[in-house]
Amino acid sequence: MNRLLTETTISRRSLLMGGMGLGAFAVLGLAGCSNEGRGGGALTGNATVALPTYVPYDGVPMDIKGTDGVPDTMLKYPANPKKVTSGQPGDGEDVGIFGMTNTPVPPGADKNAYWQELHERLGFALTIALTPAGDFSDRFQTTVAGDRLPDIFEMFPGDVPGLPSLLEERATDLTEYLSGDAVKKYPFLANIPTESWQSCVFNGKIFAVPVPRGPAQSGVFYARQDWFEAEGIDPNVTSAEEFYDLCKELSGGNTWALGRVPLGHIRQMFEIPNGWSEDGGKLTSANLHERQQEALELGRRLVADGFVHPDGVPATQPQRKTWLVNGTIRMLDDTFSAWPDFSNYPIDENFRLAVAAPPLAEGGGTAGIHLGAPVQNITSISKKSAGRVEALLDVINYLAAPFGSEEHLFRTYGVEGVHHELDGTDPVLTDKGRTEIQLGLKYVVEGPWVNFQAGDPDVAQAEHDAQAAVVPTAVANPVQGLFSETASRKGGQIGEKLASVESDILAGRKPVTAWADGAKAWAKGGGDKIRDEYQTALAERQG
Amino acid sequence: MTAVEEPRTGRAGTLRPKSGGRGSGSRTPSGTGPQPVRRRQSWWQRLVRDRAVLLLALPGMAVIIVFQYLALGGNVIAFQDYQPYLGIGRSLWVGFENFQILFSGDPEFLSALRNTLVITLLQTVFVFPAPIILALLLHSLVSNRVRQIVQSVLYLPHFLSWVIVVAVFQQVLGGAGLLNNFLRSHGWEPIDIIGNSDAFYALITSQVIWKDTGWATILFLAVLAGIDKSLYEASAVDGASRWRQTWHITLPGMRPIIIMLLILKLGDSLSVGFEQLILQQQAVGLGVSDVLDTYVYNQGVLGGFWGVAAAVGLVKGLIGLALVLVANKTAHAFGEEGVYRA
Repeated sequence: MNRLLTETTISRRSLLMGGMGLGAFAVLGLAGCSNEGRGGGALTGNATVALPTYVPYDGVPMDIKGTDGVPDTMLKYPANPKKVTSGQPGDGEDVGIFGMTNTPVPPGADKNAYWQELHERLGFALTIALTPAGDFSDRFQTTVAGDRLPDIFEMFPGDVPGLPSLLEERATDLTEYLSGDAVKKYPFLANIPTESWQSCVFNGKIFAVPVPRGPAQSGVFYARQDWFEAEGIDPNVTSAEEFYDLCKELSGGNTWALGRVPLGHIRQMFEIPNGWSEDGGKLTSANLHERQQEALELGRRLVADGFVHPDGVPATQPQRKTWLVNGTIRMLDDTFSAWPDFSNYPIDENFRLAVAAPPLAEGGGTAGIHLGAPVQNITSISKKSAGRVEALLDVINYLAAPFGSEEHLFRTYGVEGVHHELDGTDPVLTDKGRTEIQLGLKYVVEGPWVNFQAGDPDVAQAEHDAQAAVVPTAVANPVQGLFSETASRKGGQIGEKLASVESDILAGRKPVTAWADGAKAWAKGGGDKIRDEYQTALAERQG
Repeated sequence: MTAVEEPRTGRAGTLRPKSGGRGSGSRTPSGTGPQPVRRRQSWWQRLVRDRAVLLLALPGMAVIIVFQYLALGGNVIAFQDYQPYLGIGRSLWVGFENFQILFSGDPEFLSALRNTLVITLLQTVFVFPAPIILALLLHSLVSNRVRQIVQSVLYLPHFLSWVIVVAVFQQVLGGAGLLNNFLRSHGWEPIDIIGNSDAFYALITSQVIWKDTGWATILFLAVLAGIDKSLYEASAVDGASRWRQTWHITLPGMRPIIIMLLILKLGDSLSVGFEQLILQQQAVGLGVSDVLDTYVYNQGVLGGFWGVAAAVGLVKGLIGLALVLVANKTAHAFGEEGVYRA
C-alpha cells in the first residue's frame, strides 16, 4: 500500500487518473447535481466565487527571493523571531484533527513535552488522529463511512471519489469567511498564493484550506553528488542511451543505480506531457502519447538488466531513501520537497545531493521537468463544527504562521534546549525534537514553501540552484485547476488498471505493446469522457 | 473452535461407538440400548435448569449478536449505490444492478475469481494436510521434553502478524535479501523468488505452512492424546506394524475432526488470506495475486464502488454458507458427525 510514498510524491494513481495530480479540482463546479452521488451533473458556467485575496506576508525578508515560480530560500533562520499573533487562538474549546503523517507516530500527549507545550500555548487540548500518508485515503473513506470525522480533517483531493458531493455533505462552506477580502481576518491564510486556493473550490464554494506546494512538489531526479564527485563520474547525461549506460556503470554486486524505475524522469526525456497536452483548446491525454512505449521500453530494460534494486517495487520510499543514504543505490527520483527530509536519515557529513535534469532522449538539450501540483493536500472543517467555524479558522490561521515567526519556530522546531539547539540562529533538532514534534501539523496548513535546512545553508542553496535551473522551463499540466466529474468518479479505478499494466510491463510480465491496449481501454473506460469534460471546463475558463 | 471442545471429539477415539443410532433423527435421545423414555422438558424448564450456563454464555452471545449478526445488516449496501457520506439511509436503491458484475464477464472479476479458486485448491491440497502430518510426527516423538520444545518453537510463527512474516520472507528471500546477497557476493546468479509471479503461489503457500502449521497441530494432538492406548497395545500383540497402527487406529480416530475441519475450511474457502496477499500484490502484479477479497477492497474502499464490492462479498459469503451446508449433509450421509446436526 505504498501509493503515496513520501510527503509529496504524487501518487501514481492520481497521475494516471487523468493527469490531474492532487489538486486538479477547482473553480468549475457542478450546478445541477443529480442524485447527489454518482450522477454526472452538467458543468454550467464559471464559478462566481472570488478566491481569497493574496496578501503576502513580508515581515521576514527572504535571503534569496525566488523568481519565475522558484520558491524563496532562506540560508539562515532569522535571529530572534517575533510573535505574530496575540492571545490564544480559537474559542478555548478542544479541537480534534484527522490528519496524515510521514514519520513515525510521536509519543502520546501525556509523554510528549512538545504536545504539552502546544496545549499550553493554545489554551485547549488538540487531539490528532494520525494515519500514514500511504494509507490515508483508505482510512479517510472508512472514517467518512463511519461518520467519525472530527472538527478538522485533511484529504488528498485526487484520491477521494466524488469529493464535491462528499464535501457538500460533511464539510462547512468557508466561502463567506475566506472569499475575497474576507480572508484578511486570517492574515496567514491570506499569505497562501491564489493558485493553491483553486484546488479548494468545489461546486463554486470554498470548502477547504490548502497546504501549498507547486514547484516544490515537482518530481526530480536526485544523485549522490558526493559519491559521483569522489568517483569522478558525471551524473548529468545527454541522452536516453547515455542514461542507460550510466545506470549500467553504477550497478554491480550488491549495489544498483536506481531504487525504482524513475518513470517520470524517463517520460520527461521522451517529452511526454505532464498529464495532458493542449493544442487550441483540444486536450490529449499523456496516456495516449506516441512515445509512451519508448519510455516504458527503457524502463523495462533498466529492470531486466539489473540496474534497479530488486526489491524496489514493494519497498516504501523511506526505504529507498535509506538505500540512497547507505550507498545501496546511487540515484532516486522524488520531489524537491523531499530534499530536507534526508536530514532525518543517518547521513554522514559529506552527504550531498544534486538534481540531474532530464536530457532529451535523442540528445541535443534538456527536457522540461513536470511542474508539481499546487497543493500537497487540503483541509476542511466538519459540518458538525459549523458553529465554531471562525474559532477553528483562527486555529488554522495560527498554525499557518509564516516562516521566521516565533510561532513557526515553535511549531516546526519546538522549544530551544529541549527540541532544538541553536547553531548560530539555526534551530537544529535534537533526537527528542525529532520524535516529539511529529504531530503532522504541517499537513493541516502551511505558509508558502521556503527552501531551508537548519544548520546547513549549502543544502538550501543547492536546492535553490537546482530549482532555478529546472523550474522556469517546467511543463505545467493544462487541466490543473479544472474539474471533471468522471475523473472524480472513475479516474481512480481506470487509472489503477493502467497502472497495473505499467507495472506488468516494467517487470517484464507483459510486452511493452500492452500499453497501447491498456491506454485504449483507459480511454474507452472513461478517459475520453474525462477529456471532454476537461475541454468543456477549459473552454469556459478561457472564454 | 467451540464445537471442537465438546466432549464428542474426546470419544472419537473409540471408533464410532454409536454410529448405528444416528439415522433416526434428533428427536430420539441418543444412546444405544433400551433406555427409560424420559419426558421431554418444556422450554421453560430447560431454561431454568441451564440458567447458570446460559448466563455464562450471555456476554459471548451479545458480542456475536452485535458484531456478527447486526453487522450483517450492512450487506444492504450491495443493493445500493452506496456513498459513504450519504450513509445507508440516503444512498440510492439500485436493486440487483451491482450483481451484474458477476455475470458481465468483467476481466478483473474473473481473474480474481480464478486466482481465488487456484489458491483455495493449493491450500486444500498442501496446507490442510500439513498439520495432520506434523501432528503424527510429533506424536511419535518419544521424549516428552523434546516434544514440548519442538511444539513451542512450531507455535511461535502463528503469533507473528502477516506484516512481519512478509518482511521476514522479504529479508531472507528478497532480491536483495540474505540469500541473494550471499549468492551475488560469491559471483553466483541470484534467484528471483519474491518478485517472480511464477513462483508466487509456491511462495504464499509456503508462508501459510510456515506460519500456521504448528498452531494447527494443537487440535490434532488433542485428539491423538484421546485415542485409547489399549487399542495400540492390542494391535501390537496381533503383530501390527507402526504403519498399520497409524492406518487402522490413529487415522480413523482422527477422522471426525478432520472432516469437521474440512467442512469449516470449505466455508471460508473463498477467503484466501487478504492481508498476506495485499501486502505482496505490488511485487508480482494483480494478474496472479488479485483474489476476491482484495478485489472487494480495491473496488470498494479504494475505488469508491462500495455497492459492487459489497455484492461480490455477499455472494462470496453465501457460497461459503452453501458449501458448509452441503458438506455437512454429505458428511451425515456417510455416517459422520460433521460440524453439527440440525
